[in-house]
Amino acid sequence: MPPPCPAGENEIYTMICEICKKNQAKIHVTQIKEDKKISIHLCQECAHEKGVAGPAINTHFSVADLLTGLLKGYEEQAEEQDLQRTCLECGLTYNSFKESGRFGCGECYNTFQQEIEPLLQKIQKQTRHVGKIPRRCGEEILLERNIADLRKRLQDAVNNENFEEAARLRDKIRDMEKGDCPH
Amino acid sequence: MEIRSAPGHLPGSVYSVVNEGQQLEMNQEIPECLLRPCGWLVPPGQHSDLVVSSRVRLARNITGMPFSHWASSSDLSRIAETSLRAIQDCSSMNGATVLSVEPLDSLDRKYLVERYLISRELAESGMERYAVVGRNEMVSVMVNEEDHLRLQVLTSGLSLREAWQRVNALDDEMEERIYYAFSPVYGYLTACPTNVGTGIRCSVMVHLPALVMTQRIKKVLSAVTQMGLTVRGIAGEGSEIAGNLFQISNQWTLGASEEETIEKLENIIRQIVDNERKTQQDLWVESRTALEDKVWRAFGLLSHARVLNSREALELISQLRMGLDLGLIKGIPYTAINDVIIQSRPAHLQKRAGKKLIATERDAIRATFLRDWIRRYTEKEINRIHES
Repeated sequence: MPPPCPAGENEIYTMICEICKKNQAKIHVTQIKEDKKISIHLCQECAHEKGVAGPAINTHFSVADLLTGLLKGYEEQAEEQDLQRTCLECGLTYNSFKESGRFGCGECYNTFQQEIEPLLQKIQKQTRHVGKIPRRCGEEILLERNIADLRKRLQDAVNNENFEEAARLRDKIRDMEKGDCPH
Repeated sequence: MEIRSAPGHLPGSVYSVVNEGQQLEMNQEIPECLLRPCGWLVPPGQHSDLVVSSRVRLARNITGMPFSHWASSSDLSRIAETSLRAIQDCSSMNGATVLSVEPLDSLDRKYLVERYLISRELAESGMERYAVVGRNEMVSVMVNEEDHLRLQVLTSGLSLREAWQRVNALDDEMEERIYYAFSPVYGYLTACPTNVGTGIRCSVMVHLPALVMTQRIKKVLSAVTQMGLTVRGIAGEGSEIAGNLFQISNQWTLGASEEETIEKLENIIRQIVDNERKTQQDLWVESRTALEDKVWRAFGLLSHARVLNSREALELISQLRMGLDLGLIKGIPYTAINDVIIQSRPAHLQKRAGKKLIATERDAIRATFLRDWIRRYTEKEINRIHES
């Protein structure tokens, strides 16, 4: 039996289940039998009873399911050893991340940074945090945030062969890392 | 604050906390206070004719601990203990009720899901999962859901800003007691990369009957999706659209600040609401009789039907609500409509009946419940119709 296909947008408000004749049909099965096409439209409950689909509660499609699809592109380019990587903190492997779409701990964001960056580009607005910072690590993080910005500008300056600006930025970063704020 | 517990049972089955002279009990079953109408629904918010509710939730994790789905049972206990201790100390959670999910039966779990107090994911999970519910059910916290902590504020009408202020205040209090997993690059770290960054999910539930009737809804929804927002049905992720109710929420959590996210969503909701009002007016001019017929049929069925399944009930309540929008029906407050949507859902009906019921029994009880409900508000209206 072919896999059930989701209802088209137009049918959402109209189709009624052919078995109970009561609920809205959400599972649409098409079978080819002796060159004849047969379509059946069922609601979640009846489809489950007939073994066509899982029970209603387990069918919700989470965004996590999408992640595994999005990671495919990355895998084609990645080295074998990258795909074998394991988080030293929690033991999560790349494969278990791919299966569940979830990380094992905060450290995984560092371990799998290479994988996560292209993924975040696709699913998020940007790949850098903007917004609330926990108060107690605020100052330190603000400093880190500024340094990270400067590093990015430094890289741009080098790429554009703007070496004067690059030297200035390099000194500024050095000062900030030492803890003397130039301002 | 003092934590009392039976030896060897921390924070499991026997666990109570004394907080400023106030004792919070760990509940093994749904306490009395959660059997009343949801308190947060009562003060009508902005645009309460079309906007049912606003919700803001924050995803947070404790640093140095594995995320809940990857944690061992002893890790889960430690996470729960740390979280519950912190929550008890927060002034925004004064008078809160702690519910342990594990001993709850499937009906009680569904009941909490219908009230938006726990997610379906938490309802399907087992040990060391908790829901802490504040007064009026406005503020609540899920412990050991996908993330260690999910802080949530529910308000009625369009009031994302107010909800954000409240949840932000709770978050500030929590972070004085808990070291959150946070990275300067990726923000608040979450189990799923779809929540990383601000960890904020703002949702607004809107009622859009005229946009559905005219099929303009398709255009609206596709525009909304293109703007980095998602649309879901009445019961959240994976649920179907029913009763012309749509839950619209932000998708991006990384690269947009909390304020930016809220402002964008509020702006879009305002536009959608304006669009719905305009469409209702257009329909009123173009096909007044058909519209009146729809509303009064719904009124008739709700007042007289003997069997109503939950989908049909939602559709009828939706049409009745549109009757209020159009001024055809009077005397029913919007907050009562919002409440009856929750009260007529399966677990709520069964909880009131005090037993599990099969679908056909539920449909009969639902019809009775809705008949009594509508009669309470519209006795005069019915007499007037019968007299004329």
